Amino acid sequence: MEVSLSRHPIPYQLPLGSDGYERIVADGTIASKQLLVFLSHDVYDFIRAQSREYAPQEIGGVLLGQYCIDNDTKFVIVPTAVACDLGSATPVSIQFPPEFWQQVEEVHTSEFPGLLRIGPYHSHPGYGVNPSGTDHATILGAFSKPHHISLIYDPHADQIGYTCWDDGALKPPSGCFVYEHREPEDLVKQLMDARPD
Amino acid sequence: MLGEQLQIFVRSPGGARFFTWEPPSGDTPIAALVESLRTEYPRSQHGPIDLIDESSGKLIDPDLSAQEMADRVLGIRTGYVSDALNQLEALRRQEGPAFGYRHEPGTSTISLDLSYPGLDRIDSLDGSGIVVKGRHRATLILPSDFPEKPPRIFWQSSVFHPNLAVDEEVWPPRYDWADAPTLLEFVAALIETLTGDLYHVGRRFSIRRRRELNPQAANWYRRNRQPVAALAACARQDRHTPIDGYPLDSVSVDWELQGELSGSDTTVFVSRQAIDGIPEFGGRCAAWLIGQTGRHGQADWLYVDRVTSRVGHGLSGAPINAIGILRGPGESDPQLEHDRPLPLDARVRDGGVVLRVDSGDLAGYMVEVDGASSTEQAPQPPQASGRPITIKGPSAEQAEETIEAAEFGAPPEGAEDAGRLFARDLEAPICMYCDIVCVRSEDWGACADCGFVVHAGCLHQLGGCPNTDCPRSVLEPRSTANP
Repeated sequence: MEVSLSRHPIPYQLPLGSDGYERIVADGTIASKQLLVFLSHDVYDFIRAQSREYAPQEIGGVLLGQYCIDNDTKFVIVPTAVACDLGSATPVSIQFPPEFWQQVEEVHTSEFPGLLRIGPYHSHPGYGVNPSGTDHATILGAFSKPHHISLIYDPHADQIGYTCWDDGALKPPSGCFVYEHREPEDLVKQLMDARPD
Repeated sequence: MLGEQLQIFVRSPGGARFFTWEPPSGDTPIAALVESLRTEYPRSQHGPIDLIDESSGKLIDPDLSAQEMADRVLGIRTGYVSDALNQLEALRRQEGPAFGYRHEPGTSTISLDLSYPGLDRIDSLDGSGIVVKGRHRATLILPSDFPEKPPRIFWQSSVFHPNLAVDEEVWPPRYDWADAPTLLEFVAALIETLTGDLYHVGRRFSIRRRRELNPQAANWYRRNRQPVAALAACARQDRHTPIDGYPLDSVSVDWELQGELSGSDTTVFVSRQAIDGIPEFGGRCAAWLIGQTGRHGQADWLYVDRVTSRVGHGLSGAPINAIGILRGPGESDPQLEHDRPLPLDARVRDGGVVLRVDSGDLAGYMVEVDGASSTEQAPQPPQASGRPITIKGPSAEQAEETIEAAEFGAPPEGAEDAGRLFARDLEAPICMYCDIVCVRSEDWGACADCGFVVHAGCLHQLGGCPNTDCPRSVLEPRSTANP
């Protein structure tokens, strides 16, 4: 798969062992040898709260963050997200209409230039964190670059997991790290400035 | 009192049940009581039964008469063999295939298989030579008052060592059972004795010298301290199973975070076998934490691969791959003989594992989830199902297999994978290191320097040739004097 230079990982220090991170926990088991995900606890709490509030309907949105590399370890840091409050949702599906993508574009360019769209998140109320057949056909097809992930939260099981690509193969769901940064706004600024293009 | 029935009271292990025993007469030995308890505590499940006088805490001699124990309360003890087996199993989990044991149910005898390098002497038409052997056996016998009294150990295989000899009762030098009454430490000391980490040779000319089991070996060891130390170092290095780089990148296992991390802390990764072993060892004895340290970008990390007993609280020094210590019960400030700082300090507190790096307790650490570790394992010698065998010519089964291969498996002549033809001796060679026959051609990796028959895997595992006269010997340099 050819990836444009602007989507290459930027050198950045891994949060594990980095002073600015006050607290890092993990939700689920962390798979090695694949893209690691560090989710801001604000995003994590928001997704869980939104999923529970709207259950049994699915909820969803898009994760914004940075694609980084530190000594061959590739990872994404996700400090923010844009929730989808447009379109329709059922207990087994959610649609991201064109208006939502327009909204994402506006928020992304005006508030978080330099960050990347890391991938979508959505809930699976009661049916686990594995991508469904529909997910494969839609979301995972559109988000298939090396820095893309698809995050799923099951509010019934209180379980989170993400899938990512590895040389064209979809990896099984893995748990992710959830961080609290001492200076979250500085972190966002650093992450945006790290990719000026 | 005349005519009153004699009674002895017996309490079950843990005190949940209570029995009374009425012997046929006062002369009946206590052994009869032990025998009657067999219906409740079958030998196959519980092993030997001991009776303890609860008032004195002393072990009861089964030959004592019932009259002597009249009206006493005796406690039943059945678990000492299983406790010993639990320790050996914990050791096996850490040591891997290098250590094995077999227990005959209902007995207190345990056979030990030790696949560690140790010296042996071979005699041939060319004279005597010292070789490194990789398979050794010993028999452990637990006394009925174990662990108050130490086990007895009998060496069962040929060996060239000042303090070990075949068919002799042996004991690791400087090992004091009163200080370290656990099999975890005792067997580890025995292994270190075999590999040359621990041995005792008295001064050559001393009136009060304690005689070694093998004076000839003692002379040799005295003259070859440096090569013996090289063998010991090789044995330690050999058991190291390093990982390839940063654990989150290098092993195909999942990790879970126990507790939470702070960004400024060193990230500690603990293998599954180590996280299981820390409570097993730490509740009984002091130990070393074996593993690897690394730096990822600007951050330090530690990987704990396994646990190994700190024999005699560090008498033989830290293994080259030790990255920390595991404190034994009640051990507050260990005084260790090692010349480099070990960053990790572990202890067992309330059944949980507490890790400390530098001066602060860690709030969390990563633990391997999947048991199927993909860490790079050192090649193991081929496994033998029994004693080494010598084959005189192809056996009937081999001949049959050859025919079958020719008929069904062998590709037509001229095909690219037609195989290679090897000239073979009729007598299949035995590997000098592991004593296992070299069956397959690829197993047969005779040393290129001296021609010693040795598996290629054994050469790799040992890190040199088992022939101590070979330039590739792991013992070089050594004295050239004959043993």
